[in-house]
Amino acid sequence: MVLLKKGQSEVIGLVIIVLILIVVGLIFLKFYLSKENSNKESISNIKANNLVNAIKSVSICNNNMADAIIACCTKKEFCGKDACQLINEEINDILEKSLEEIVYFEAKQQNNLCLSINNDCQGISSTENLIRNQDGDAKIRVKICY
Amino acid sequence: MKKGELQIYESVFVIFFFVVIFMIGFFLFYRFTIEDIKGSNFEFQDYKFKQLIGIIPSMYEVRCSFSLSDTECIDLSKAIAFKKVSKDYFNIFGYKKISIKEVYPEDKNAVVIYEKIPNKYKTRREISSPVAIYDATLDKFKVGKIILEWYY
Repeated sequence: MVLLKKGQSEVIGLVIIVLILIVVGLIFLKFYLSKENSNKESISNIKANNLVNAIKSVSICNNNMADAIIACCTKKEFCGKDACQLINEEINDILEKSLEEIVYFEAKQQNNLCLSINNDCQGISSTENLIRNQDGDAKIRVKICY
Repeated sequence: MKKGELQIYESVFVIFFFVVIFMIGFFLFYRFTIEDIKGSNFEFQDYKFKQLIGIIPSMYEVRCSFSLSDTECIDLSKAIAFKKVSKDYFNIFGYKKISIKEVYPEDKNAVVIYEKIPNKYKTRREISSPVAIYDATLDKFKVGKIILEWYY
């Protein structure tokens, strides 16, 4: 058994105390940061859900955007124009005017992507909203990028 | 001085020193606890403020109501009417300003539906969220922004 000198054992004690302090500091920091993030995430989630709700119900050509999105997914014309092109222009305009953050928008029909605006990113997503009319259905969602 | 006297002085000095350290520690603990309570209170108020962007569009006072469908949006006519009675909502909203602004298809001036600004305040915070707006005069849905300002 190796016997430690008094000085060496004191250094080891000091190192242990410093390590304990670092561990306690890290645990505190983890809880502090996760609380901040969860608050931000909850706000972004509300914003994303409000936005997707506003997009699907906005009036366009005496109909609503949900009908235009379904027309795009079923490759039909809407309002005498190509539905996808029309939606692209209008939703881009809405996203630009309503939020400062970059927002990704997508519409899917039977898991096939029929329309996307902006690039997919890391962020907070809205819930998937099912829109339906006599021509079919689609799922839409937005994601607020970090 | 005799050795006994010296030891008594030494003991008194140690006790005095210990009491001073204890009092400083107690004072710092008290200050940190008060600051922590103030911080927690502010965090709670801040959380309540941010949650309002989800709560206000669902309030029956301003939300759309149609006979056969449930669309979550703000009825602009209801919101304008709410402005007349909104001063009675001070217990719920406190020192805040709530406005609704149409941004699509046209950019219009904001409609203030609640406003209570204190005479003196240190800081003003603002958050906004997109929201669906129903314009009953045109029977059209539009996109707007709900803008909340908090004065404290």
